[in-house]
Amino acid sequence: MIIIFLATTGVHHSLIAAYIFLERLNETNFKMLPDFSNIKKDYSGFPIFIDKDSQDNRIYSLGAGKEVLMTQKTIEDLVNVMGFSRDELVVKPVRIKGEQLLRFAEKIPGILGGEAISRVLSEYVVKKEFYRIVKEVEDFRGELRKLH
Amino acid sequence: MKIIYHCFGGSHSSVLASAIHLGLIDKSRLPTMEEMMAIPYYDKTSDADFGSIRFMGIDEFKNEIYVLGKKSMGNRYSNILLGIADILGVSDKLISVNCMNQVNWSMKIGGFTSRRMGLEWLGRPVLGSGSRDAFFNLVNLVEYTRLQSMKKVQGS
Repeated sequence: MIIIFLATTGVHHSLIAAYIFLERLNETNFKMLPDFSNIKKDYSGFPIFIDKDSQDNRIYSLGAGKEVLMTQKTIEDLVNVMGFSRDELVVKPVRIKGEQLLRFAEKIPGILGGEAISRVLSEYVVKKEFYRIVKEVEDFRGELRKLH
Repeated sequence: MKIIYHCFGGSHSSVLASAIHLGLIDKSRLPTMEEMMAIPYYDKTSDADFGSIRFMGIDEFKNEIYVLGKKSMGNRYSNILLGIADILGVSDKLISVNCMNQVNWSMKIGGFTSRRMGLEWLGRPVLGSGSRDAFFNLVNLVEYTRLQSMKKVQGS
């Protein structure tokens, strides 16, 4: 199975959710994650491969700007159009307070210290919302268990 | 091969491009408003259709043609579609075509007035005029896409 954690950006809360799902993260070390707040990678729009879990599921993180739910619908339609079933690719939207702020922070020009501002802001927002992300991932894990 | 034409609302330029691709409309002359209105989904979508991939038909090479409204997501949406196809292992079977480059101001204003404000009587004449202005650019885009699909089939 392919699991995609989808959020406004692909390098903040969806990335954290993916690592929590893989059980490789606690509250203190999220800043050290590869690609955390990597704005350039997020801009591409391509899903970011995180790793495989113990059941060989491939885990990805993806940013969709302000249109998270619309993008979820499109991906689910695309999976169907390409001849795959919903069990083969699952999209999990990750929503937190301040998610739009993270998206806007990414747009601050580099000359004004955009990357640094974005990083500081994202660390603050993610830290504040960390347990909400954990809860979302745990609920999702429960949904997956029910699915199988 | 699946070909997805996408634009802001999935209601005008992408629908027109897919109709040209499928031969639902004569590409050698400018269409009338009546001919455009006869195309499925042309200026007939609602907010609920954003993000839905809608089937338009199958072309003579058995390519399935779809349309999609992606709001102001730009080329990033193409990358999302191609990225998903890639991780599914079927990126050689998908062509994503952004029609927004062919959309002119008349189409934007007419489309907004007709679909978003619900003033079809006011928006449609402006939209029709814009669509006719953009028509041969859309024909070029479709021809390029058809060539791309042939190349992809030969390459796979």
